[in-house]
Amino acid sequence: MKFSYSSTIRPLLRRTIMAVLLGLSVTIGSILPASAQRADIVTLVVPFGAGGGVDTVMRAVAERLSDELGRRVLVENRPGGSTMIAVDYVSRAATDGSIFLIGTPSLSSNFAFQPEIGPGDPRELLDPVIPVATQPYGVILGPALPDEISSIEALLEWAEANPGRLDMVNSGPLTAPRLAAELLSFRTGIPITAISYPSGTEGALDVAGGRVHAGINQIVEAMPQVQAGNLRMIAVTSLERSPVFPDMPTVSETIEDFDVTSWNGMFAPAGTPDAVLDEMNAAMNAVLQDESLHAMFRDQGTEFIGGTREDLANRLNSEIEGWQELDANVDLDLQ
Amino acid sequence: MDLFTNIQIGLSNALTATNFFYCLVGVTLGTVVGMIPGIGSIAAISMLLPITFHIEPTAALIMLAGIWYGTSYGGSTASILLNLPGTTASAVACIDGYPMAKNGRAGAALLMTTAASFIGGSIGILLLMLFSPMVAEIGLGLGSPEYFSLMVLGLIAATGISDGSFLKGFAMVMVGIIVGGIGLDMYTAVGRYTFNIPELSDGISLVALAMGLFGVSEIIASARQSQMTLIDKSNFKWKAIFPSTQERKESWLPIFRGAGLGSIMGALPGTGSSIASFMSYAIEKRVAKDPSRFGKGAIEGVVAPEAANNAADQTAFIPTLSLGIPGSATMALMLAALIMHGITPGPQLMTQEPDLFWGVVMSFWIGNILLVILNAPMIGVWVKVLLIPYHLLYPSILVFICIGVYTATYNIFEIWVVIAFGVLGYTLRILHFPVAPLLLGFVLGPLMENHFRRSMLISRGDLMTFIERPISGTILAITAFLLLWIIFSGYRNWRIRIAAQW
Repeated sequence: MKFSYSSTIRPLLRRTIMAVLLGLSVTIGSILPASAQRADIVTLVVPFGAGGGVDTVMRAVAERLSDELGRRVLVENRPGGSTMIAVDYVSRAATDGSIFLIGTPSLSSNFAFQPEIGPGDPRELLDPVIPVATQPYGVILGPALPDEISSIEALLEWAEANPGRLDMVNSGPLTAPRLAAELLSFRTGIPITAISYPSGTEGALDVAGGRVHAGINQIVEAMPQVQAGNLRMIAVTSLERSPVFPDMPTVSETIEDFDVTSWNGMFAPAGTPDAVLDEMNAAMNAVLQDESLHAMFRDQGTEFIGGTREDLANRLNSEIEGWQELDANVDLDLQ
Repeated sequence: MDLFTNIQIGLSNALTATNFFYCLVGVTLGTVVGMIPGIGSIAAISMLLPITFHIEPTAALIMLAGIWYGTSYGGSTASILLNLPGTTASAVACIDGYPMAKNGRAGAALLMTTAASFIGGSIGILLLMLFSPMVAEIGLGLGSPEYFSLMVLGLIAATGISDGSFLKGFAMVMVGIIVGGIGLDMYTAVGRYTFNIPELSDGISLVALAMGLFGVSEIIASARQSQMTLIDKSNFKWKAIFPSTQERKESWLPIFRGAGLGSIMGALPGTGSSIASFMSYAIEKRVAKDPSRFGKGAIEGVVAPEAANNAADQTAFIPTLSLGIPGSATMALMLAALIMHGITPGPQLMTQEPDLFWGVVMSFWIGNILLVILNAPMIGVWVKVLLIPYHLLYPSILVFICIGVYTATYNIFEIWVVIAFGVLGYTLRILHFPVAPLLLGFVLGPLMENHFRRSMLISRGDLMTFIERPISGTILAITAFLLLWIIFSGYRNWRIRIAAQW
């Protein structure tokens, strides 16, 4: 192999040193309190640790948004408190358009089921900017169920014939997949034992190993085991069929209006001027057209949507009302 | 495809100038961040993550992996020299490594840990190469009952981890379990000991706890000593650095035992290198002819856990790459780097992306060799850290701990946690309570609880599930034998003591 210091290593070295310095400055930048940051930096606060699904998506978005705005866009991770720490942090931040929260379905479920904990009603604390992406959950079945079950109807028939037997995995007690299982049980009257895991991947593994019958999972978590033939996905949980998996039926085709979707939306601290919100909405709508972004996350079922500020406000509002209705009718064993 | 073809594919990929270069960058950075107390691989990897989007996935993973296992080499350095664990897994190295340093054997301890790390790492990689496809199968067969039984075994095996009173050790395990219980309940989202403080709803961070209990309490303790012990300069000569024949002889078996245990623990999703190093320490103490040497500078107590955590670091790639289940937050970051490149780790990875899989695996060999070359000659420099006056060294360490803990979540609350556990650790030290069992209870307690409750949910409350399932039943049978043996040997020692008194 031809090997030359100056042509191979030096540019590499220089690039890496630059990159490390950049990384360092990013880190130091995010350590500084928000007030010390120059206004030409925009911070997107992700309520999870670096490396998660939302974080990965938002880093890709941030890079393109940076080009669109001509300002540096940083992703800041504020994990913890099932996203409440990030919500609290952003809701108290400056309203000058320098900081935004990436909200998730936890915004509505936290408030609907445990209003006494956490910062309060997200509709009052935050101003919606734009819906960013949605992702249906997948209903997965494993070898603990007979092979011929391949639809929601068949699954429900089996559960009726075997009362009290059906177990379904989810990714945590107040997460959308858990609540989706409760909603399924509530709407059909079939008891389902919801089994929580620290992550949906671990849950999917128990389904693939035949220890639990089924699960509601993020598609990216289940996909490797689906590809390996250990799991089968029978439906998605969104209202409409996903353009990413057009052949996959929806749960709502069997149970009318069933809609539990993972989504990410951008929010600003309440009181941010309309002009700032509109400017960001326009920039984000442009960014979300980027075909390379769609291609990057298509396999995981992520669909970049965009839309108006009202679209996001409506989504949040209807979700909160939906969960409040479930909470009023079902004892979820939450205190 | 047979193994040799795979090795060939891997080596040709790992040895390209670009990949070799990223491997070097990774392990160098890993050594440095591992050495600095409080700053672990997670901080370094999250800093470098954005860069990896722009380089080839194989090179990206090689670099991130290099940081990951590189920290294990550097991690024990501060443990041995200053009683400050650079990483959580190397907290165990404090127990005997720091007394060795106090006895003037710091150099020997460091050189032997480098050797142990290399051997442990090598065994881990070998197993990774040979058994990856099979382990993916086994992982699919292990459920909550199996993990619960395995942790019972671990807890029983580790009962003898600390010196002195069994009761005090047991009490500390219980305190650890209680502290581990802080946070939202895994199944009902009810807060436990959270007092409605959102920061507590995720529980206490392992890093903050370990830094406080081990690091800060040590700093408080030494600040109280009015007279500093003078350090004998002859300790820094090469002769003193090189391990004695006896030290080398005593190290071989523990290194291999540690590496074996570490490889198994690393390959199981969700256990990882911290538990591996604790368990291997407990085993060494149990099989030693004279367990009383432990805690006073026994070389076995340093090398076996080091071999274990390095082996575990390598085999941890098995569940991460073949099941897509990251064993730790750091592994999750590496998965993210792959996903950004459109590669979803899972059972298909090895067949679909052999270049990547084997390239990364073979880069581990290169990385481990580079680490020995980096670490061994530096030992003479590291031991000189002991010559830095405490009034300069300790404040700067405190600063590093604070930065490290803060950057994990960007929350000041974490620093209060460190201070609280520093004070607790110091109080426990005065009262002669061992802190290592607390850490063990903290790590194992919540895991055991989750697996137990999940087993009960799935079996509808039938305890027989632990005995009926073959793997779980076998593990519990081994545990029962171990327990009987512990009781029997305790009884025998008691008889001997009684006899001696007469």
